[in-house]
Amino acid sequence: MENAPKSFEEAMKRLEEIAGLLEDGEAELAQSLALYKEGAGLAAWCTEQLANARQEVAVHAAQSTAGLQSE
Amino acid sequence: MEVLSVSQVNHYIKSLMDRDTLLSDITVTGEISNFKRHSSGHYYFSVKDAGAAISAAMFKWANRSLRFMPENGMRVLVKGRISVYEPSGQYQIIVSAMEPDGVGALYEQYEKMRRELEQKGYFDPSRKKPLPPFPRRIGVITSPTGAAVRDIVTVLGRRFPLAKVELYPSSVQGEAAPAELAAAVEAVNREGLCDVIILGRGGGSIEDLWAFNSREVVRAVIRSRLPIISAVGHETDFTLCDFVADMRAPTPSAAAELAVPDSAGVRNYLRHFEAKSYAALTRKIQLNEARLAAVKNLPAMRHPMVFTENKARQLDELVTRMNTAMNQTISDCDTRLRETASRLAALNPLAVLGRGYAVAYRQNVPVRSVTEMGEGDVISLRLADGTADCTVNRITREGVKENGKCSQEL
Repeated sequence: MENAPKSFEEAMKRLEEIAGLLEDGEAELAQSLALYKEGAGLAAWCTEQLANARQEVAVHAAQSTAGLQSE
Repeated sequence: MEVLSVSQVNHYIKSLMDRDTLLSDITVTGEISNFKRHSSGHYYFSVKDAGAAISAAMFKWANRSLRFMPENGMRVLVKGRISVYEPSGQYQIIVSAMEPDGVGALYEQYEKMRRELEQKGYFDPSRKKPLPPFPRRIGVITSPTGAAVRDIVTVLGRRFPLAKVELYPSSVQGEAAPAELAAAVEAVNREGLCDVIILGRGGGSIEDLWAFNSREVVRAVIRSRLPIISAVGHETDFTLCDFVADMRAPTPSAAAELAVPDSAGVRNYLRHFEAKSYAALTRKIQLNEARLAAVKNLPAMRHPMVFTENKARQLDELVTRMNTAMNQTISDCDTRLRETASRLAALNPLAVLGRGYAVAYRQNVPVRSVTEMGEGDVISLRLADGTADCTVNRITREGVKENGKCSQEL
C-alpha cells in the first residue's frame, strides 16, 4: 500500500468512511473504484494485523502459562 | 607689688586657660609615649612629636568608647581640652576622644563610599544571589600563607568533604592588594570551575582590612556572577566588601561553615528521605499489585481472543458493506448505460435510413439545402446499406421561382 495506516483503529475508521461513501452512491464510477481499491487494500492490511495480534496473544498466553507453572 | 600664693597663681593660670576657646576644644596629632593604664581605669600618657611633648589624661568614662587599645609609638589624633592640674602646676590635655591618625581621613572616605553604594541599591537584599545548597567547588580568595586558608580548608574537610577547594592566592593588605583581590574575583568567574566564592582574610587592624573597602574590590564583588561570601575577620567593623557581598561571615571559618551544608545533617536528611521513599514505593507496589490482579480477572484478559474476534467481525461487516455497495454502484452504472444506449439508439439519425431516406454529404459535411451545392458538384448519398457518389446535374429549388442568386438577395 502507498500509505500504510498508522494504526488498526485508523484503518478501520477509514474503511468505515469508504463503505459509507460507496453506499451513498454519490461518487463517480472512477472515484468509487479508487475508493474500493483503497478499501480492499485496507481490509487486507487489517486482516493481517488481526492475524498477527491473534498469534501474539497465543504466544504470550502460552508463555504466561509456562511462567506461572514454573513459579 | 602684690604677692600671690602658689595656689593663687596656679588657680589664675587655670582660669585663664579654661576661658580660652581654642584650648577648650582642641585636636592634637602626635605619638603616644609613656602610656599607663591605672588600676582606676584611667589612662595617663604623653603625646609627643619630634620636638615636644604634652601630658595627657583620658578618664575611664571617655576611654570606654575607644575602638582600639592605645600603645606606645602609635600615631593618634587626640581631641580634648587643655587644663591645668593645680596641685602640680602642670598643664595637660584631658582627652575626650582619640583615634589612630590617618584612619580619620580614610573613615570619611569609607563613609562617603558606603552611602553612595547604599543609594545605588547595592546593599539591597534582593540583589543577593542565593548560595548553592551543595557546592562542588569553592573558590577561596585569600593570602596563601595566612591562617584564613588553613581554617577554611579544615572546616570544609570536616563538614562537607565532597566540596573541593580552589585557592586563588592574593595579597590581602598593602598597595597591591585591591587590584590583586579584584583580579582574583574576575578570574574565578572567568574560569567557571567554582560555584561559590569565599573572599577574605584573618583578623587585623582597620588599616589591614582596608583593601576590602577599595573601589576595585567592591566593583569586582558587585560584578561577580558567582555568589560571594565575604569573610573579613573582624567581628565589629564591616568592610564595604561585607555589605556588597551576597553573604557576610565574621571569620573565614564561619564563611566555610556558611558555604557548605553539614554532612552529618545531610546524611540524616538522606536517611529520613530513604525511609520515606521506601514506604512510599512499597505502598505504590502493593496498590499496583492489587490493580493488576483486578485487571487479570477482566473478561478481556481471561479471553484475549474475544477482542480480535470482535474486530474481525467488524472488519468482515465492513468488507461486506463495501462489496455490496460497490456491486450496487457497478450495476447502477450498467443499468444507466443500457438505458442511455437504447435512448441513444432511438435518436440515431441514421436509423431512419432503414425507412428509405438518404443523407447527402458534400465534402463529408451533411447538406441541408440545395443552396449549399452547385451544378457539377460531387456529392455522396448515404443509404441504409451503403454510399453512392453522385454528380449534381441540375438544381431546382422548391417554393422559389427565381434561381439561387435571387434567393441569396432575399
